[in-house]
Amino acid sequence: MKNTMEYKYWIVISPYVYIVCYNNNYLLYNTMNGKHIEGDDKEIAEVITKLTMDNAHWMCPITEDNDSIDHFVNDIKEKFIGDRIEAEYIHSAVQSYPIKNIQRDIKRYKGNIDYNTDNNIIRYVHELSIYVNSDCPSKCKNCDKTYKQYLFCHKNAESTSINKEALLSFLRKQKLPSLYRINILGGNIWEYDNLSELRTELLSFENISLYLYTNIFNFDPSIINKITPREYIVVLVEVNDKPIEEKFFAHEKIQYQFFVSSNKAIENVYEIIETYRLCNYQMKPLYIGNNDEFFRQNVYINKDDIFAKIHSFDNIFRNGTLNCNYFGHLYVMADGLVYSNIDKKPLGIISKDNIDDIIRKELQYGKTWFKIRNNIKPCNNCLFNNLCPPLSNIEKSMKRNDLCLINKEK
Amino acid sequence: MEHSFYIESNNGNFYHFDTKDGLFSLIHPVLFYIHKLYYKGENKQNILQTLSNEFSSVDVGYYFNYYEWLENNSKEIPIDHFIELTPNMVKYALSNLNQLTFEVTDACNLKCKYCGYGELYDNYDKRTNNYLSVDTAKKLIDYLYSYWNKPENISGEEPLFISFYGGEPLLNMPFIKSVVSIFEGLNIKRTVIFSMTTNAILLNKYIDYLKEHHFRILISLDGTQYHNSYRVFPDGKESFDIVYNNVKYAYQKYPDFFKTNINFNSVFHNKNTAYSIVSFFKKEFNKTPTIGELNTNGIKDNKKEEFKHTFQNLQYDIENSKRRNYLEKKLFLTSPMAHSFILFTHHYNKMTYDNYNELFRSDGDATINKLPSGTCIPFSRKLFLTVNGKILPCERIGQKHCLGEVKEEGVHLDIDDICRQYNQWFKALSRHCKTCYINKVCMQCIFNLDTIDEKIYCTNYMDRQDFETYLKKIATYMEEDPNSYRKAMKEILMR
Repeated sequence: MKNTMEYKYWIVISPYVYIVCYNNNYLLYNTMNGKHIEGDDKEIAEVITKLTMDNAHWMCPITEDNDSIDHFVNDIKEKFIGDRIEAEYIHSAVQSYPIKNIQRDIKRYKGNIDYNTDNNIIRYVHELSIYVNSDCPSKCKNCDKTYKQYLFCHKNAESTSINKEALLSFLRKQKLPSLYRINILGGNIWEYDNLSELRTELLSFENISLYLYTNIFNFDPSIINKITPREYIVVLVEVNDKPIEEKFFAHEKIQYQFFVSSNKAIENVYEIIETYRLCNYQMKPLYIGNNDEFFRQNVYINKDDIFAKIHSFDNIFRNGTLNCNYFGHLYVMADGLVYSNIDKKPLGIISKDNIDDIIRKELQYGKTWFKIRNNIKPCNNCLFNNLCPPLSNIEKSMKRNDLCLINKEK
Repeated sequence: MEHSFYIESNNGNFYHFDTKDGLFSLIHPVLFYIHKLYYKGENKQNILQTLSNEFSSVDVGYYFNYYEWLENNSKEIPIDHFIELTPNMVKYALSNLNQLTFEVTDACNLKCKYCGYGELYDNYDKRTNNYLSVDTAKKLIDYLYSYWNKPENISGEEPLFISFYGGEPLLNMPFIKSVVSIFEGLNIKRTVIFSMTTNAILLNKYIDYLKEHHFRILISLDGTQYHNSYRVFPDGKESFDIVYNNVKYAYQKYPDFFKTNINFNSVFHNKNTAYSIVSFFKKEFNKTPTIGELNTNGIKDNKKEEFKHTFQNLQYDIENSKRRNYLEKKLFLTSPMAHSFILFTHHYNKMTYDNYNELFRSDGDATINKLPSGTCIPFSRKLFLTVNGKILPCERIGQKHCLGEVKEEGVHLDIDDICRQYNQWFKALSRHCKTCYINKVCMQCIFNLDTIDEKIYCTNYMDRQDFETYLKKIATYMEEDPNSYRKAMKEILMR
């Protein structure tokens, strides 16, 4: 980039600033202090387009002053987003600028004859959810809905139980260095004949914690006495407008997960929490087909929510690369089929496939781990898509990707 | 240790560099001068007053606030401790070995003047025209095979390079054929790729076999007849004509194979230049060779003068060449400065991630699991078996530092003992590493330190001032090749 005498000064944006610009709408976000500039001034958008071009190094020479550029310069200086540097101080200068560089990004291996893929993909298994059976005596109203939105028990008309030997052989073929959590679900897990042996075997894996998921209707509190140090119980409670009759136990090893679909249900949960002095609990919104307004009030986000925390580049790049709700999570169903998302086609089966082949399939062709807002409508053209929480199965159930009020705020 | 640096490049631009994020920010000169004065111990009032003589007081006030903000944000946990080498790390490396190299023979049909096993050096086993036996190799392969079948092998289909090295490997072709056939009969999931480094004297004789087994071939040739004139037969006759004709023969017989599988390596010395080497290979074979300097370790005391005369510094030659830009572009990865720049960028720039898991690191996480120095975990890059059955982590290491042996009764590799020895060296060296500013990017192999067997110290240690000079060099390099940053971040895969 050559200096010319006609340049008065350069606008220089600092490399720790995240910039996004679509159709003259722009956002400059300081990842160090969270301050940002959002706008749609055409002239500024042109400057931003120029300075984000390849090899412009986030610098743009300015020949003429005007009000909007002056205002922009003051704004970037005030927020430590960038600077105005007189042309006399710039001598073929360059600087770093944000480029996401994931060395073992699968996209970088295309066409590389030596490396079909990253070698160590087994490290991408972080969490395993194993459905040990499909039987359950309860008749929950939303059984078919809940498990598609969250990690939740689920029963099938056809009774199936997982083959313990096949499962263990599948998991033991290769060491899983990043696996830190295994969830056991059913049906009603307590009715699975091999549960005790399976728990013992799974606990022999290094560094993992074992979470036993049970519906409150199937939960016998006496089980707590048989829980080992690396085991936890997750009690699933669907709460509606009616008061809950079951008993609750405040215990560090028991986590209650309340699935709420109305404001009244939230009130009920608070009452339970207070009555039983619970401290280990989570509340999750459940879509039941007719509670859109509840979601609009309690779940939809706006700009204040987005800017309530400071987003680092790790955060921004993560959201722009993979979906951290899904990434690293595999599901093994009672029939042995393995999924990255139970709402998609299976990736393999425990009796035949290797875990690394399954991971490779997901990395290369899967549609779950890399399902990001940049690739889906209407988020793909939104300035905030990499700052927003990643997509989940709730969006899928609601059949809309933008659980937000941002466009309405305009 | 400081983490925030303000530097002026050779071209007169000012930058802030923070080891926390590894980014160079172009800054206003006032910011640079504030830092200089602050560093000298001046107080705020004096700084504002001094700089207001040259710059507007509003600007100076603004930049002082900016400076304070930058400094408050530049807090990094320095590397003040290093990990120890553990047996599990070594076992993991063996289970996921990338390259197994056989010193097929110590015999050679050439007697190159600068040869690492020749008259200039004394840090290798005596050359006795030995040939590695298939039995010895088989013992090692069987030993490694047991590691490759462990759950710790997570290499998937990653290539495993089986390399043949010498002496001149083509002198022991029966060995090569046997090893190839062993690997072709082995049930391993990984893609096996055979490779060799050869002087090409016998290339015409074996090219059909090498082509049939898809060998990757690296031919040693230093350029034109004059440039190549250190590469001679034992009787002193030059080797150039034979090598050149054999290479042309391979080129004409198997043009596609030549294009994809044959490359060149040139030794840089006082008879050639980087430009002469690059232009020769471009013209003759449409290839860009790798260029290496002479090995500086293990020089005989009475040969030091001769070595000094023959040795040339490649980076110096490139930097002073009239065709510098052309060479930097052509040799991008192999040019020492470019290599140093890429390494620096990949290690310091926090926007570089090795794999997807690193995207989950928590903000501000500066924990680095690193061994002291730049020494590799043994066998994490390769395992080298010498013609005498010694096991080394690399062929560039003096053979007295062998880590194990293949004996009549089998492979002797005491992993606990290896760790003990390495950790002893690391412990002695880590007091330097702790305060070394370049410790994140260190490339210094302990085996290349002449002091390894004595009171070990590092010759590449960088204090604050050295690091500042280094940063200045990096910034200037980026300015002179404005594409370098984008290339390093977008195009280079470091494996």
